[in-house]
Amino acid sequence: MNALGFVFCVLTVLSIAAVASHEKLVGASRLRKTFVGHAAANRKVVCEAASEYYASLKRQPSEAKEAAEEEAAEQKGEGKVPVAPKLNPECSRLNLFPLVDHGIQEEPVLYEAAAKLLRVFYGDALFEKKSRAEYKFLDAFLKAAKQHIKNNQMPALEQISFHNEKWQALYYRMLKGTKRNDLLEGIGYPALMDYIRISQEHSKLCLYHAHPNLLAVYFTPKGAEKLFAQMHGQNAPQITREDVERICRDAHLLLDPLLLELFDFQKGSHPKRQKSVVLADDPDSAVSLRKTISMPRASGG
Amino acid sequence: MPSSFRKAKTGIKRPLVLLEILIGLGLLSILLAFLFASMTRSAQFEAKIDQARSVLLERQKLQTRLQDLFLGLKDSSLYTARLGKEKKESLIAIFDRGVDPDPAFSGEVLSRLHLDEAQNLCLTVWPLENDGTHLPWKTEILLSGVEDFQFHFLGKKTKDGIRPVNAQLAWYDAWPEDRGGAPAIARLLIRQKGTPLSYAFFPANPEPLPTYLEGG
Repeated sequence: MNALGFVFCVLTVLSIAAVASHEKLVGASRLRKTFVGHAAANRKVVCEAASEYYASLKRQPSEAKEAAEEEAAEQKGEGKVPVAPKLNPECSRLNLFPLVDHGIQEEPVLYEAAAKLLRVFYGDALFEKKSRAEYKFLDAFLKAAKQHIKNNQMPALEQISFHNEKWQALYYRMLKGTKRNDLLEGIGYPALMDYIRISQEHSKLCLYHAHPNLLAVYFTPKGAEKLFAQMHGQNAPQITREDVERICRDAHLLLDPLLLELFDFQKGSHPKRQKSVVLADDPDSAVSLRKTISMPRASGG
Repeated sequence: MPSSFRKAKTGIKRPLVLLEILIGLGLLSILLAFLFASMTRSAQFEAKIDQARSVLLERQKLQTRLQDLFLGLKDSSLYTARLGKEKKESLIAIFDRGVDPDPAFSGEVLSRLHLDEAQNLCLTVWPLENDGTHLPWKTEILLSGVEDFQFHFLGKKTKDGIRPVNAQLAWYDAWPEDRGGAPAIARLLIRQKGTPLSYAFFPANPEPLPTYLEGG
């Protein structure tokens, strides 16, 4: 019986040592996987930045060639379902500068639009469905942004300081967003950085380039789907305010006409960006990187 | 007649003889000796692996941090300079750190990669925006035990560098502030406790960049 106890003790010690060793091995392998994933995602960022740069060079020689290329691409994509962009572009971000500068009283529509965006994106996940939490957060955000402007600094979104740990932590999570998010499917929440901006340049929100997530905020998910399909469909004509109103009626949505004043319905080109946001991920390790890259100016040689 | 048969037949338990106990103990001690010897070897091996792993981890951290720096580089903000009584030139750059829990160190920050007195390769960052009353900074040790480090930059040939590549490109061991732009490749050579290490980083926005236009 004593021998049995002794053997049992030895086996217990051995199994504890084996588990500890296995845990170490798993931890090391996880670290290695993350590092390799990070390196792979970095390579993708460099690759995408280079592709964007060379694509911008190609377009320089002749506008006629560019038009022909676009036409060919349209013909090629015949019958295809329009694909949503990875990120909401800068031209389609809600510019909160007028709200910070003039105050809520002068910009009630913009204030409501910003609050609605916060409520739809983060109401369930971060505000825990608390009543008017998005308004309290928005007020704190505007106050903090105003403080930056008072100090003669145009605030970068990620540098806004709330001087309140609770709001700051919440804001950090909003800015980062979740790796996987789909508003239409109800998965995660998007990064706030992709949907708002603070810029002195007064411009409306570009409807044509808007991400379906942003359209879903103001036109409901069903209306957003229809609107996106109509704008980006094969041989889609220029969308007008009346078209948007019709789509909203079809989706049984009562739209505030003042809200439409925030949108730019023109397909027109925007000024070339100096910075580009690149999103790259490595599916094997689930590492996802988001980089803001200053694009180089083209130089012929 | 076998003993088990004898026992079964008579119903009397036969005690173990001394010889059997000795044989059993002998076998057990041989088994335990092998077991503990292999456990000791395994523990020593684990300790060596842990040491190697921590060295590797430190090197990976250096690579990851510098990759972030070179990818988020602000246009024309990179240069090398010798500050104060420094023995080696520091690398100075403005880069985008992205979203950080501390808003002061989020977004674009000023950074300096340098060798400190304790032979640590450090990255120090300062917020770009401040109210002028105080200048907080954050220093991170990227690699310890660094005896020497040297950057080599691949850029458009403006003068004879340390090694010409072709008529348009050359390697340089410094990137002065007045040169502007960013190199196409930055190669970092480090000597850590006698071990040579080399890294290569590719800024996402190299400028000036030799380009060949279609039909040009």
